[in-house]
Amino acid sequence: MLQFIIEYFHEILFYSLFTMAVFFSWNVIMTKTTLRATLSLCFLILTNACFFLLLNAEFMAIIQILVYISGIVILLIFVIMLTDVTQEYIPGTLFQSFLAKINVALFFSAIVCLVIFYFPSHMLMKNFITYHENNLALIGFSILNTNQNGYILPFEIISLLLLVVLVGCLKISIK
Amino acid sequence: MMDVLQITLKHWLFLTTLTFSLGLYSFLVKQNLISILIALEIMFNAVAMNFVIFNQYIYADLVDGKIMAIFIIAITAIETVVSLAILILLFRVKQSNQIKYLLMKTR
Repeated sequence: MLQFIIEYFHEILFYSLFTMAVFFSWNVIMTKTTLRATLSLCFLILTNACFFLLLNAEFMAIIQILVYISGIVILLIFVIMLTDVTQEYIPGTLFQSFLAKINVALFFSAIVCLVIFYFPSHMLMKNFITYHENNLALIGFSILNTNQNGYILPFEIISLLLLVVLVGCLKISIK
Repeated sequence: MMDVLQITLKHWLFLTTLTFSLGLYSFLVKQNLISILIALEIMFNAVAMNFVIFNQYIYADLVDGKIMAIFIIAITAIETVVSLAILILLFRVKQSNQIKYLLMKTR
């Protein structure tokens, strides 16, 4: 038993996190209050960070937790406290929900069929991830690189966009 | 012994597609603006994870997918902030955050 756990540790982690991710996404849909949905989103983001760790992308996991949990979720909770007057829960009509279910099921099955039938199978069967020790440094060099395959321009544009959004939000919400 | 359990690219793609679909369903069904924003977050998350998965499995010595994921996360933060500011403004006018009331004309 212990041998099995040690041998398939990666797989066991993946499947348990898979179950948790699906459970929390389902919970976001099924809960009636928005605050609980936000809490589920918080846990979903944590499981996603664990997935990034499984993929050997530590920097992404850290970014995920820093930006989402300490930024977006806090903001969402603030806005819920500011605006969520206790109103009656209004579900969509039954027909609407049925249409949405059919459409999403079609979308999901279409994507899965596309991946299974049209994706090169030698890529699908790959099961190893090479680990690079200087991953973080590589990301930094690539973002601040001014060469042909560097990302300095989008990086600067994003920083400008953040400034514009900061001013614009103040302009919108202070009145 | 158990080659079926081996995690391949297929499993990861299945996971992200499932999460994206659940987010899409939530996006279509919910009547509350904040819930719709949460659904958008879930979808963006799945997309960013897809970028990282393809980067790690196919071009493991490059970091372009991860940088795209970082940009997606930044854009998501911007989008959330702007839409929440608009929501607060709308709430002041309409006193509600259900889209049914937001679409009505003010008297």
